Amino acid sequence: MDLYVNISKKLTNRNSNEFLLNAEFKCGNEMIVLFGPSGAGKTLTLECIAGLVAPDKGCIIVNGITYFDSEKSINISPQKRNVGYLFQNYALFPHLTVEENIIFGLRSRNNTDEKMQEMLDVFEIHGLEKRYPSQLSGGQRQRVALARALITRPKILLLDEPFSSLDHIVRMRLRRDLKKIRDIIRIPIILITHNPVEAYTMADTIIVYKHGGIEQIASPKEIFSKPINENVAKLVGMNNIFKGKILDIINDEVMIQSHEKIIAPGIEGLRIGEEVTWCIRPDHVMVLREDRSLGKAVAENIFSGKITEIVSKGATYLLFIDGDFNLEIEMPAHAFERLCLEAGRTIKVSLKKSAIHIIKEC
Amino acid sequence: MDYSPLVLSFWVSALATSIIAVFGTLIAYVLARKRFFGRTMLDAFTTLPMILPPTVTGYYLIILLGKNGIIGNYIYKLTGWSVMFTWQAAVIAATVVAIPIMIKSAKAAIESVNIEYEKAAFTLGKTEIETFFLVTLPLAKKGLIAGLVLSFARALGEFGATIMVAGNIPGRTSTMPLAIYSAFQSGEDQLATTLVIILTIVSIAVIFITTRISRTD
Repeated sequence: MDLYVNISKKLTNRNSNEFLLNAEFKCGNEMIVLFGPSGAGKTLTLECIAGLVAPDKGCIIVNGITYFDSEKSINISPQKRNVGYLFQNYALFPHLTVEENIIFGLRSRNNTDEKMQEMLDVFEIHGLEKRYPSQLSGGQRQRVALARALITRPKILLLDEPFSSLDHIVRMRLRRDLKKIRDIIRIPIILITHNPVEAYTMADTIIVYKHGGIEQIASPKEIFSKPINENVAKLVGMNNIFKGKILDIINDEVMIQSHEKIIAPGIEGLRIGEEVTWCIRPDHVMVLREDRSLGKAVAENIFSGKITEIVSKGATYLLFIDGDFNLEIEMPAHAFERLCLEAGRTIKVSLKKSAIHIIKEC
Repeated sequence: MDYSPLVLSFWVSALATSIIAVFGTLIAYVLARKRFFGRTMLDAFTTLPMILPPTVTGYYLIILLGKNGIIGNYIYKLTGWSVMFTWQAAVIAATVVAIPIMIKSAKAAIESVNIEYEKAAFTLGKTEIETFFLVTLPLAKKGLIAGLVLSFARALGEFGATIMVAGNIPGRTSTMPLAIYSAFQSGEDQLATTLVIILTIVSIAVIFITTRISRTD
C-alpha cells in the first residue's frame, strides 16, 4: 500500500494570526515519523489524511484511490476512508467497556469474537474486556485504542504523539508493539513525535516539520548526521553551530575560517570564499587527556576552552565551554568521572573531523 | 376539589418538555458543534424568551399565531380554527418560554464532550447521526437530563405568556399557576393553598433531582 500527500491549508485564529501548512510527501509500507516542534502542523497533516479537516488545495491518494483532490472536488468522508487513528489521549469512549470500544468500528457482526480475540492476543489485553477505560493504566489504554483502530484493518495507521504520556518502560513496550503491528499488517504507519530519540529509533523515514513546512525528508541516519539546514540541525540536537568561510579545498577536505581554522570533510559544490554553516553534535566533541599523546585521528581541530557549566544527565554529562569556540559537549559519565572535570578548568577538545557537517548557505 | 388544573398542567408541561427534548437538543447540538453564518444570531434569538418578560413573549406569540397573526391567519383561513385560547396554545407558550433553559444546559453539556470522541467515531466509520446517538448523547446525558428537568419545572410554572395566548378558561386552559391566581382572587383559599403546596413540592423535588444528577459521576 502507498500514500501520496500534497496539501496546503491556511488556518486563521481569533487574533487573525495566520498559519500555513504546506506538505508534500509519499510513502510505502513503512514507518514514517513526522518530527518537529509543536505547532508545526504535524497533527493537522494527520487530520487531513483522516478526512477530519479538508485542505484548501492539493490531493491525498491512498493505493491509487483519491481521498481528496481539490481540483476534481473529491473529498471522501472520514467514515469511508478506513484510516486507523490513534488520538493523543486515545479518545477511548468512557461510557463503553474495553470490549465495546474495540468492536465499535466493526460494520458487520460476523466473526466479531474471532477478530476481537485476535486483537486481545496481539496486544495482550486479555481479562480487561469488561473494564471501563477509567479503570485502565496508561499503557493498557493505549493498547486498547490501538486494538480499536486496527480491528477494522485500516489502510493507513496514524498515531498522534503515541509516546508522549507514557513512562519509560511502557514506551519500550509500545516500540515493540508497533514493530509487531508491522509484521501483521503491511500498511504505512505515520507517527508524530517531537522527541528526537523516538524519531530516530522508530522511523524508516523521518519528515522534519517546522512552521507548517517540511524541512527535510530522509532516513534517520541522514537527518541526524547531515541536517539540511540550521533548523533541522537544532531539532536533531546538533547544538554546536558556527558560521565560517571556505579558505581552501584540498582533495576531499576543506579548511574553514571561523574564529579559528577548522578542517572538515568536503561536500560537493563548495567554492573557495563561500560562506557556510558548519556544525557538530555535542557527543562528537572529544575531551583530550593531557597525559596522553594524541592519536592521528584526533590530532586535528584541537581547541581549548574553560568549562562554564556542567549538567548531569545521568548516563551522560553535558559540559559547556567558553574558548576558541563556545561548545556544548556530551560525554559518558565514566569518562567524565575519570577526567575529574570541574567548572572553571581549562580543557583541550578535539572536533572529530569526520563528524563535522557543512551546511551550504542557500 | 377540582383536579383539572393539576391534570392539565401535567399534560401541558409533559408535552412541552417532549417538544423541548427534541428541538432543544437539536438546536443545542447545532450551536455547540457547527460553525455557520448567523450562529450568534441563532444563539441570541433562542435565549431571548428567557430574558423577555413572559407577557411580552406572549404578545409576540399573539402577533404570530392569533386569528389575524402572521402565521395564524393562514391557519384560520385554511381550517377555520385558531390556536388561541386552547390547551395547545398553553403548550406552545410553555415550550417557547422553557426551551432556552434546555438549550443553554444542553449546549454546555455537548460542548463539554471532548470533540476527539466524535472524531474517533468518524474515523471508525460512524456517521454523524450514529455518532450523536452512540457517543455524544450518552456522554452529555447528565446535562441533557438536568436541562429537561429544569425545563419541565419552568413549563409547569408558566403564567404570563400562557394567560396571554391561552387565557384562563376553567377546565380547559386554566393551568395550576393560573388556577392559583383565580382561586386567590375569588377567595377560595383552600384550593389556592393546596395548589401552592403541590407546586412547592414539585419545585423542591426538581432541585433535589438536578443536584443528584450533577453529583453522581
